[in-house]
Amino acid sequence: MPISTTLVVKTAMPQLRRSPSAFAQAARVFLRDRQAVLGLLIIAITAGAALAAPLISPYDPLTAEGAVRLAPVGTPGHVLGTDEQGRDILSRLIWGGRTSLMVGILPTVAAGIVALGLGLVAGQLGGVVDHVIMRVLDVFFAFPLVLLAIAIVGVIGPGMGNQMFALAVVLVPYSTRVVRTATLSIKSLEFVESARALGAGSGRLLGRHLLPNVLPPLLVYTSTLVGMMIVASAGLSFLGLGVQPPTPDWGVMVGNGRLVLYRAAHVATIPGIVIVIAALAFNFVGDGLREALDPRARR
Amino acid sequence: MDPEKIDLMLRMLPDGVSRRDFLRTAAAGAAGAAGVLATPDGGRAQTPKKGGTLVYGMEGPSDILDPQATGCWLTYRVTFQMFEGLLAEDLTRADVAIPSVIPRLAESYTVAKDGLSRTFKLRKGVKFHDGTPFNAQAAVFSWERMYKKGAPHFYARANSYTSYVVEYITGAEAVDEYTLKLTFSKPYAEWERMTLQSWGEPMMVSPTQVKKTGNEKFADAPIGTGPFKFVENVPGDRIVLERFKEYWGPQPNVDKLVFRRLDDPAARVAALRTGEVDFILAPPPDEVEALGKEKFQVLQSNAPHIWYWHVNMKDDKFKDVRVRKALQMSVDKDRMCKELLRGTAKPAWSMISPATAAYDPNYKPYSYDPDKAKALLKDAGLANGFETTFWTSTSGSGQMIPVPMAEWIQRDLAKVGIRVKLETFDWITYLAKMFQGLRPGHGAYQLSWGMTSNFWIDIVARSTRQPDKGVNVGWYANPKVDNLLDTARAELDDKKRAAVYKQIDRIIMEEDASFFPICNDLNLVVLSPKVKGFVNPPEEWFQLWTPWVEA
Repeated sequence: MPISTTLVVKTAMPQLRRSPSAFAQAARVFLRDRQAVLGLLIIAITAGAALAAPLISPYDPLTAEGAVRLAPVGTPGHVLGTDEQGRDILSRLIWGGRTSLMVGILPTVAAGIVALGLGLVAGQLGGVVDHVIMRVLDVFFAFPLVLLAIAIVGVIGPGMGNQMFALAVVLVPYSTRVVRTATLSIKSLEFVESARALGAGSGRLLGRHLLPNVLPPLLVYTSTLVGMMIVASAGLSFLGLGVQPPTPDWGVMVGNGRLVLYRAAHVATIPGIVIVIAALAFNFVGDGLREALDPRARR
Repeated sequence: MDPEKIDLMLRMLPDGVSRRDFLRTAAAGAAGAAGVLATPDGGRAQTPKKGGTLVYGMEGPSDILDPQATGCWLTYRVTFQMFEGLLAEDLTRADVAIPSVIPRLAESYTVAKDGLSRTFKLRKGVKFHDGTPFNAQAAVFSWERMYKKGAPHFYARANSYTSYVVEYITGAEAVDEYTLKLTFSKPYAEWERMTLQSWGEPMMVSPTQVKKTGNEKFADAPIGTGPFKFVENVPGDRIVLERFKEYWGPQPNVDKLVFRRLDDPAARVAALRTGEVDFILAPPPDEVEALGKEKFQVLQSNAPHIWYWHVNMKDDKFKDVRVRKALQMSVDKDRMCKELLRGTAKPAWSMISPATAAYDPNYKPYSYDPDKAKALLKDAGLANGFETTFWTSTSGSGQMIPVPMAEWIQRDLAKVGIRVKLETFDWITYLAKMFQGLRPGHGAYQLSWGMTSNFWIDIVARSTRQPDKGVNVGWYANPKVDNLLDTARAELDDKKRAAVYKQIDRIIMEEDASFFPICNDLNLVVLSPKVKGFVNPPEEWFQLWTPWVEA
């Protein structure tokens, strides 16, 4: 699975963090972007539904009745039909949001935090440290992302927690590259030079100048990974390495539905559409963030 | 044919086949013997078309193509077309309950009264694909490769795979050019049938080729005596065979066979629909009805296939026989077969495979009874139920649709209070787990197989075959069963032997409830309308010399 790590780093002005109105400004730009707002709305609804699952889910997602297997969309009592076990698809989508959003968001966030540390250190210190960090990560790049995740889960054992850990590990190299590239380009800008000339130490440079300016590109990049992680985790679950049955998960629902694709296409396509919409929503938000955090766009 | 046999066959035939249908098929079978082939579409006689290519969309990978050093159904579907043993199962007939054992490279054979030797009269004029003549010396070479430690061409891997065949062999001797004598240390009644199974296939390999390639490389350029010969093997993609023009027997109808690997059931069906492949096995159950309506031919057979769980005898909860009995009554197998599997399998209540002498389709020691199951659990001090973990694979040879099936079972078990956590593994990892055996806390391990020999129960249930020495994954050990297994192995009378195996099954199912059979797969084959002459026998593999492809 190729991930583009060539990301144009658009830097924020140094006063971004200091200016009290910076956040408000960014928020204004973001809210003016209709796509971004739509994305945020979709994420809010999905997450809200997942959180409120016990209250709003019409059925228990695990209980099934064979007699109503593969009921079509619009069946009374089962708006989105039932799956190959006779479970209500709507209920499984609502509950599945919990697992899918979690496996989508947690590994990317965890990888982002680690990447932030590694990338900043590599970019700022340079030299041997940079070489060691980046060459070790190059080793990870040698393997296709999902294959590496499979190998890791294969070693530490199947299960949802281990799966998320594995996905986080494989994402670290990609996110680290983004952070390091951003660090390098910002490091050479005049305001950093002048801060250093004024006697700012390494810690201050990192914390006050580099970190706030490296965050936006990382945030944007991370948001685009969420949808991909939902799909990747579906792949792992398909191999028996991730979410275990009968736990609902959007990716798993697509995987199981493929066996009944001709007879009851909705079993696979409905969760598939949900994944596409969720992934799009995260991408919209990512795009909106990039615009909002880009000082040039603000003008 | 005696009435008892006809009756047995009728009971073994797929549901919905009437006595009249059966007799018509039998008549067509007789016509087949007269040189015309019975076809699946109603027994109408047709003249086979010669030539062309038959493509099989295979549901998984074949292992290496050295028949003596490999084992699995998928592999045997390939090697069975290329290699031959002294005996064979007649897979050209679907109208029998059990495939009959026929001579192949032997013309006839005799068993000594004490059961300690077998003498084979070998067929004359047989050639290997490389031109090497097949005779008693060649046969001795093949047998020594499997059994004789210390022989220059002995192959440890072949010895290990064929252990169920060669473990009591003490000698292989060429009495004259066309007479072979095998001697045994113990009488072994199921030996003939065991030479015909897919786990270690004692088929004759060309001595010239083995000497040329060495034991290990033989699999890359395999040479046998069968009606098809090897062309190429692109691992993970396809295997190609072609007609062997100097075959001693009747020539196959098609010129070329292609085994294309298509693991995913949905992809397999798609390839069949687009005409990329001519036939497939194991379609998703939900597709079968639609495929039939689209003019595809759907054939089923009572193959020796049991989908079952090894119950962990070392687990705290399942140690108690009451809990194991409760398990047997907690799953509505009829509904599962009807609703989830859409009639592609039948409920199984016994650990005796269909298509064997000891199989009794009417044997049903338990029935679905959740209330009784709950009462048994209560007796065992588990009135509030308990939690356990079951293992299954996500796919695999003969596994049908393991995850949806396991989820279905999980749901039924929850109703009586057995709360199962499922752990699923990919097929290769799963097999490795088998050799470690079940740990405490893990309730059951699912597998799916069987044999046309009742010796199969010896392989899964004998106490000496616990991991890592065998596949007795649930650590079942009952001295009474072991003794009876010894008796059966030495009993040369077929009827008496079947009775002993039946007795063993009754102990396993009723006294110990140590295995949990779910269903017998009906081994569906789906053929393109242009494929004729295909026979789906009561076996897990098939012969490909009678089918042909209409233009």
